[in-house]
Amino acid sequence: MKQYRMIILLGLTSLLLVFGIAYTRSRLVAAIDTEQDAVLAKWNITLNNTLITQTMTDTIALGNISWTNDHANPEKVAPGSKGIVDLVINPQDTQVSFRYDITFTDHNVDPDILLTITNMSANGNDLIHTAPNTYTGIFPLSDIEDHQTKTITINIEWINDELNNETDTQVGSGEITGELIGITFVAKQYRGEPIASIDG
Amino acid sequence: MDKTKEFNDKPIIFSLIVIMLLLILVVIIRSTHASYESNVEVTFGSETALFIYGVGTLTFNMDTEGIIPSDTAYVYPFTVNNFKDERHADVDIDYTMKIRTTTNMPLSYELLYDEEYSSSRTNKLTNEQIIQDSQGTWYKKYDVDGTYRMSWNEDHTDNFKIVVYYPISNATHTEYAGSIENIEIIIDAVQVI
Repeated sequence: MKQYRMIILLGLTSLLLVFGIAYTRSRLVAAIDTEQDAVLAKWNITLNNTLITQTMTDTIALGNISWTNDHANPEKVAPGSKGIVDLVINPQDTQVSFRYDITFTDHNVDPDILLTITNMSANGNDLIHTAPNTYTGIFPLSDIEDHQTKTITINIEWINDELNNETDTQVGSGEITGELIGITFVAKQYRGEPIASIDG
Repeated sequence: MDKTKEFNDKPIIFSLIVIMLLLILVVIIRSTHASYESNVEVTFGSETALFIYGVGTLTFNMDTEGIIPSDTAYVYPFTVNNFKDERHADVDIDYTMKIRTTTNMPLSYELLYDEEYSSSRTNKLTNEQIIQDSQGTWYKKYDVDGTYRMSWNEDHTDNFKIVVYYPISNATHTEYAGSIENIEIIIDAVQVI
């Protein structure tokens, strides 16, 4: 019985030691990471001139997109139309690095959605493809201090698919209302964690 | 041996367990400590283009009370539009037509596009076929020559006339009394891609 208790005692002491060491290390790392937090690092990011950091969640409405289609009204979107959405990220006086994730629900994700995203880039450079419907980029503090902005260019298309003619016609004749696309932009403080691409 | 002097490790084990629980609690609290994060749903206000055309299938009947054998042709105008009331098509539309008639009366047909009936008229009907449907009813079916386009950026009206001939030579034929002839104009419209 006494031996049994000794084993428990030794086990708990070892666990405590390991926890203690790990926690001490994490405290040191955290102290480095949150040094700016301690003086309330600024977090003021605008997306297309709308401040998005006032609340945890928000909705911003972009203006109408100019569509390219040789046979349709450029102010309206129709099967075969192509358009470009620009999201301009301006971190202003933000004082921490951040990552941004653009997650979308398009026709490839949900066949009921009308539009498909065909390409996405930041200042002409590829973003990290972190999930089938998510692209990620990093805005390092050095770029922020250099007063840079980043423009996310999203190419959108209503791909004409003969299999969808019936539904497309119902949308076009106003019988049903089709949902165009869903896009979510998330900016999150970046602490240097690795960001893996699903493309390998 | 005096049991009261034996080393009692119960308080130590209890204390260690409490300390462990506290440490775990601290770690959990630390892990849930929020860093900066903002979520935005991005929307835009594009409207879907309207696909509007007037007249999908036009059907009308002719009976022997409305038409009598004559050397004069009967001319029935109809139109095809890319607008309807206040709504206008936002896409270019191509359409083709077919005409199907019953065979109850000895009628013959022509179709005119954007012209008046005259001796120099151009008949757009081609490829007359006599077909029987699954119910055993016989029909005449015609193709209409050409594909017609209506551009989105203007209100467009195409004027057609269907010309019906009921020759006077049938005036003495009483077997057609009370007959009704059905004419169906089928328009197949597609968006131009």
